[in-house]
Amino acid sequence: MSFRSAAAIAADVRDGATTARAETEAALARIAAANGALNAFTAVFAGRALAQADAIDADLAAGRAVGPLAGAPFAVKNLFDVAGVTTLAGSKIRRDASPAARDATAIQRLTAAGAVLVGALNMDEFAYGFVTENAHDGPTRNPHDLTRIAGGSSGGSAAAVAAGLVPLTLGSDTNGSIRIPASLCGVFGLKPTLGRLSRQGAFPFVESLDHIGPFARSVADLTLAYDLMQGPDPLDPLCRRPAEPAAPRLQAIADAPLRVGMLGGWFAQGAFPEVLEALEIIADALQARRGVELPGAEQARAAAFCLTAAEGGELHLEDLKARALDYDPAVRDRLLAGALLPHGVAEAARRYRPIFRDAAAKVFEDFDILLAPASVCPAPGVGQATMEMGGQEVSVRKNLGAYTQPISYIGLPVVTVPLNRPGKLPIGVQVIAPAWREDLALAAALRLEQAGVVAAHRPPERP
Amino acid sequence: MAVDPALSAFLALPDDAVAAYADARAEGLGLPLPQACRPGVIDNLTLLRRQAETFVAALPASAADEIEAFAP
Repeated sequence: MSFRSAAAIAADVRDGATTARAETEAALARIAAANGALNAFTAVFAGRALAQADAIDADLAAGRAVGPLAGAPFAVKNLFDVAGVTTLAGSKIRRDASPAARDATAIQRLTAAGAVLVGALNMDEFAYGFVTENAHDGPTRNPHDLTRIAGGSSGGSAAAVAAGLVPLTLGSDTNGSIRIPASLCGVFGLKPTLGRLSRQGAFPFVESLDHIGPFARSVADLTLAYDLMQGPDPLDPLCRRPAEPAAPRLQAIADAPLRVGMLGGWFAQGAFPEVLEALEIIADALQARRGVELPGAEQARAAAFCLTAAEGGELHLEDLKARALDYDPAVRDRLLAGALLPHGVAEAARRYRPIFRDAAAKVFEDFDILLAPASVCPAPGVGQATMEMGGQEVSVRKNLGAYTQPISYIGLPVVTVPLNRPGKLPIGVQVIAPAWREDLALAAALRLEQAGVVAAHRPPERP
Repeated sequence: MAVDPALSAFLALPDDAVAAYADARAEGLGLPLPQACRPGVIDNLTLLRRQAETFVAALPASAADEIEAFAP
């Protein structure tokens, strides 16, 4: 396995210490060796990757400039369009769809920077779930304990980075689908502000709530990828904001005072003791004020839950009429139920959004950063249907994101940071910033990383 | 905000009436509910009804008729 950063690989390629081809071949070999156990990749694009790597090496040999990620391998959740490849979104019913005509915008921007796309990654069907136990492609297993899940829905994306197969991946997050697997697999994940990164070419799930974002093993790589993907995209009406690169000012923000609050109320109920312990450690490191209330969080979670079902059900209505039994059963029943909701449910959920957004903005008048648990518990077992939460037996699939859903409902940026606890199951914490202030969340993450409080520690060696 | 009649009726359903609601609504949509799916769908719909109650009750009566084009 390789735990070098994307930035370090690219620097070595630029300096001639290695070649893009050698790095790409090494990544392909790692995937071939480890994917049988992990099931993180659902497709490998060896031909495309090697051709791009050779083009980078040719540019370097000719003295032409290459991008900041030149030769660094990356992979994407299989809901991103890849030119010439059918976009599965974890489903069976899309297996006979036409191949995508072009790469998703996010892939275009990373490849333009020299990153080499090596494959596509497993996920919950249509991104509806927190477990990546896909009925068609099988479960993705957690690199830290193969008997446990990687989380979802971007489980393959988190597992591939955690296992050292690639240093950088992309996922999507509608209700927690970057933050939950980042937490369970012990890597960094960024869910930016709603509308910050283009969703063009990412198969939709819930138009009102869909985000995309990167996973990496360091704050520097996470920030680099985020900065490279920023900027308006005429093909995504939500993505209009000019790029505001975070990297140049990150250290200065990290070194300056930050007003940090730790959320209580909804966010302090039901979490496992080790999750609360992780939160306390990170709160101590950032000198956070405890017990900060975010009024309406429970209602926001409920509204996100219903809006997801309603919009997802509406999106899939025609396929549900024609081919319901071709869906993953765990997803199908939720989409069918969503389709049966009266229209007023989605409308009411949209009405509650600005109310909760304004409540959060009020809290942010006193804080730069808010902390909350990412997942309710460390990674549950593969096949585990229920878990205990607040003294009740509840569905794993529906409840792992209880603390992430209120935040994505109002589109706030969040970095999930992995507590540095080698030898134990990973636990992540949400570092939440006001809208459009990803730099604050990334800077807080950087401060924690430099203090050794958070780190993407390596999974155990396997024979 | 005045809650629309269909939403009010849905929120007022007792749990043991959700199955009948599901069948009627499915028929209205032309959406077949395969027998294998029906128990799971009803469980999910019951959960969704309870969740909807949670936030609909928190909406102010004075909410504007127009829904804001959401921006974070």
